[in-house]
Amino acid sequence: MSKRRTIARLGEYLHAGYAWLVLAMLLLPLVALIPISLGDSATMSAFPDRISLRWYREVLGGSDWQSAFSWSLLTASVATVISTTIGYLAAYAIVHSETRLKSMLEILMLMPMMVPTVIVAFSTYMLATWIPLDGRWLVISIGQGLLGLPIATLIIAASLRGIDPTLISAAVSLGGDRRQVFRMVTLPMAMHGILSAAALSFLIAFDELLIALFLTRPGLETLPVRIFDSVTYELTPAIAVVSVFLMALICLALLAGAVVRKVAAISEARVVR
Amino acid sequence: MLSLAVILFFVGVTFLLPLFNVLLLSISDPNGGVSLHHFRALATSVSLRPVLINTAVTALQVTFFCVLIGYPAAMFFARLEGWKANLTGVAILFPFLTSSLVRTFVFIVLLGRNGVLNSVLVSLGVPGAPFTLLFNHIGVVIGMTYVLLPYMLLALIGTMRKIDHTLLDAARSLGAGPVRIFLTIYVPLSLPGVAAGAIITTILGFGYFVTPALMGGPGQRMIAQSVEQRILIMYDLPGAASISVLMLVVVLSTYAVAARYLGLSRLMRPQG
Repeated sequence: MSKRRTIARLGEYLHAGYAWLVLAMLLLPLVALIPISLGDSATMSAFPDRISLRWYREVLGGSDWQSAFSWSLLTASVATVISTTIGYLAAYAIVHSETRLKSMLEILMLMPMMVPTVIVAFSTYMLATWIPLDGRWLVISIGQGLLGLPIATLIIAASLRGIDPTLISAAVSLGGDRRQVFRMVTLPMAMHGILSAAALSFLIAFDELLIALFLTRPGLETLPVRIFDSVTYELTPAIAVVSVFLMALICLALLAGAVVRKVAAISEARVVR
Repeated sequence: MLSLAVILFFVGVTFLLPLFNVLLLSISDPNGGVSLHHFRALATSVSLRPVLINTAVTALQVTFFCVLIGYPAAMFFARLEGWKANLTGVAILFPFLTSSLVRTFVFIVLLGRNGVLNSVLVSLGVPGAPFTLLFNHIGVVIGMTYVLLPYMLLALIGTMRKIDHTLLDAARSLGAGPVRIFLTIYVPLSLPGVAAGAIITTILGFGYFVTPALMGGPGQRMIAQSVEQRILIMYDLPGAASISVLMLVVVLSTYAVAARYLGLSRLMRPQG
């Protein structure tokens, strides 16, 4: 009996060890980017012979990486506004309507996620042929906004569903008109969802490659396109430097998400009280 | 009502109309009429067939490895509570959110002939090392499994967390052994999660671009690259459109069948 228990205990340890190993395998390659980015030579290694900030200087000083970064910042910001706004409107319509329209709208909003990205990029490419060349960056934003739309809609719809309808009717019965109810009840209570939706759609747009690749031209190159070209033709530690910056951005977003969740929990408690 | 009009106008003009244009392009002929000759060309094309086969095989292999690696790990993660659950949640979310370009790039460095993996294998004295793990099929499968594993884990953990553990206790108190409990209760209850995760990884793998483009050789070309090449290099828009339509039919019908049995929301929200 005790022998059997020892075997069971051993099996549990093995299971736990395996699971932590899988988690380590997911994270360690990303951690390895830090030493790779600190290498001194042009060849990359996870254990560089000499630590130097050479490639950090190269990236921060080079105007091409900077311009790629600013283009990405611009297109992703506009894309975030697009997917969060349209996502909010769609989520509101989905949550507050009971017609057959609801499921149609739901499927329509999820379409950009179901259709393979390369096809969304292709259709955005077709859209660009109808628009003057100066508006290219805006078309990239629109395409990236479409990609973030499904997630934004799902997240905001979930947070709208979480609002207690009696709070809305209480606000209405206290004499609030539609705009006041939206500004003072619905919006603050859905804020957590809206901010998460905005953060996620920003990340999606900022990392998006294919749409920008199809619409890129000299002088309009987003960061992922620059990375893609760089991996294809140069393959230097500069890419690792940019990757480290991108990961820092995600860490910040996750941290901000945790803070927002805390603040939301506190303010919600205050509203209920 | 106004908001509905705004949504429909925006999505209609920026997405549905161009997509419809792609469909039109695929059935256009050079003289402005309608014909199926682009599809006929696809059916007889010798260059496309190996790409299609390679795409399907790669997507299925990657899915298989994701289930194989992910299932036992997800079982463990689903049982965790408190800060450990939060920690694993963030640890899975982090690679999930990191750009697939970055994740592919780091694997190019690590899997190279002088990369970490090969150095370890050589120093362990593994026969045949160093292996060629880049620009071939193995490299693409390893890279894509790494990139898609978080999707599988999230889908599995979401379903496994909902499994009622009193059922397992009941079976145990009735005398069932751990293997029997696992096979007759745990596996069937977790199957919807496996199915949802498998469908997501297969569909994403089917349309994947970054990893095969950067880690594959010419023999590993996948279907998304064929579309990209036809648009950017060959400037053959109707050809690209007909491949896109083919992809759309495969992907959307898979979703339609899956949604019938699993529900669309489970497919779309990997967290469960």
